[in-house]
Amino acid sequence: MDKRFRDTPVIRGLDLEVRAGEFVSLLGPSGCGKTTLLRIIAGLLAADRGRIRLDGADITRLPAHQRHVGVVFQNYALFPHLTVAENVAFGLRARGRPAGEVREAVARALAVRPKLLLLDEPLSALDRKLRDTMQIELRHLLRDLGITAIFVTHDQDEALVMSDRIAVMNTGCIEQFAEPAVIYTRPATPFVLDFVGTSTSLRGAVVGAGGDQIVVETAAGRVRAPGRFPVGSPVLVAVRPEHVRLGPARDDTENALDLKVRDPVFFGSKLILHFHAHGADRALAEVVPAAGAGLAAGDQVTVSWEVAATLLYPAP
Amino acid sequence: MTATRRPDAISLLALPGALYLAVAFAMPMALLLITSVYPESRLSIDGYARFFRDPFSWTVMWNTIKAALLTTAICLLVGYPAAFAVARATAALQALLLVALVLPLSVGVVVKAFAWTILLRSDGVVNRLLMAAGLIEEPLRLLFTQPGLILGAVNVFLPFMVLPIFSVVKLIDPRLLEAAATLGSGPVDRFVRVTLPLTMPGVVAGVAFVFSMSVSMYVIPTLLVGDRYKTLSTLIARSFLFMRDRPLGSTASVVLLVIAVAVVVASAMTTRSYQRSH
Repeated sequence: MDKRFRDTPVIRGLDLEVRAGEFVSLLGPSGCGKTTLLRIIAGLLAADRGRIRLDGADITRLPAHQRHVGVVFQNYALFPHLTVAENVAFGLRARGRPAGEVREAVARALAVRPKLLLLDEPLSALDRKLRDTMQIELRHLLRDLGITAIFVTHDQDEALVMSDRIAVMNTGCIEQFAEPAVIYTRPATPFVLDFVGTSTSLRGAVVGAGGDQIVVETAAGRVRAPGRFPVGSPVLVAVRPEHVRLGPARDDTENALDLKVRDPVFFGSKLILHFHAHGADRALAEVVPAAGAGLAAGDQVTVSWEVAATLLYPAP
Repeated sequence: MTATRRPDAISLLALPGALYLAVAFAMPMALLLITSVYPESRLSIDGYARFFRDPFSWTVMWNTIKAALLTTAICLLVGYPAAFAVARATAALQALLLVALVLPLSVGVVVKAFAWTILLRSDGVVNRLLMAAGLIEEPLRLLFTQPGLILGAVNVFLPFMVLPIFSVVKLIDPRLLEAAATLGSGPVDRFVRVTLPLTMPGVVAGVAFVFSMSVSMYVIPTLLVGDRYKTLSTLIARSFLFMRDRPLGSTASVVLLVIAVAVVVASAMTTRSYQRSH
């Protein structure tokens, strides 16, 4: 599928296949084209090129009201001139049941038994506690009903919690489409790495290669990573903060760096240590609060992590 | 959200306006009412009896109501879609259209009505165009006829229909229509069940404006139809200015007021019941 607004491409050669009964999230920053994609699937917007198939039938040219695709809008788009029951019953001309606004909007969309349910950031207006509750409630509801759903969000936690699979979108393309665990532990591109979760990420050049492992020279020191790149290539190495611990390498399967503490940030159950890093690089570690007790900005520490946990990308 | 009985200090800001209206509008109205039932220092409804017994009064009332209803209906038919066009236009075009709507209001009604007399004359622009197009052989009689009057009245009052509907349409979230579509509602169904109920407040305001103004218009019928088509307003003016019949004038004034208020109130009530049933 392709879509342009005037001369700006918003969807670029995008391909997405959702299985029946699956809960898929479209995750991406604002302006990545996720809402546009949703509106095209719903029939509220026409794509410039491409086809949409639902249950084997081509619905590309079908008007919205004949598609059997339900939508929960970001602002809910509830009819102000109707009661809760009348809103839910709008597509039915039958009786509904009372609920809060999100529930009302979901109930209204589900009341017509759509083949596919599209949700456009329906929880973004809620405060954190309520949002957490609604995430689980929605997930259970949609699983129990076995409904196929596409959920648009810019909130990575929401996508990780709710989805069977996540499509991470960036500038009109899907960067990675996989299960939440794969998205988090094996980000396919530096964009996914950066957008989902946090990480230590260091730029450098390959200075040694042998077998399935390379050595990268970064501003913070030498780092080994699993992968193959010719010597001299510019690369990006990264590691998730929960893999990093304080202390020197235990053996030669681990990387170790000497870093200077910039700011220890307390999160209750954990402590995130931010270290001084060069330029666009970032370095951080997640430790239990007891392990980081007594550390202050300016302290020099050694951190280490397994070479196997190191992620490697061509320099963006 | 606490309800207090104490009057809000801000509501005092309406005081100067309210005082002005009391002196300049309510008092003369009350005097007029009194004149109509208290003609020669005694209470009497003779004025009304005389008015309603005269078949001529009924003709005049019917003329007045017919012209106002036709004007209002045409303004609504033309103005409703126009209001949508203005509300959904791009910012620059919208500004231009709004100026085009409001600017004519600065041209006096007398000037506009007089302009129509020139257009509608038997050798006027309208007739010449129709003849040049081969649509008619002989010039049509347009001036001093009801269609001519309605044409002029619609021209003058149309902005008062478009503007209130426009202001309501502008506030309608376009997502509502999209939501209705995704719920299986087709274009006609969407209009009847979403658009129409949501625009009703604007329609009522527009109808109330246009009807109450066209039921009491004076300059336009005077210039475009003259004595051939008497309305309550022209009758009132004649009774006060030429016939010196103050009881007749004040009676006709009260009748006109009652008609205008009745229609405006009725249209508001119809809307409310319509909105409830949808």
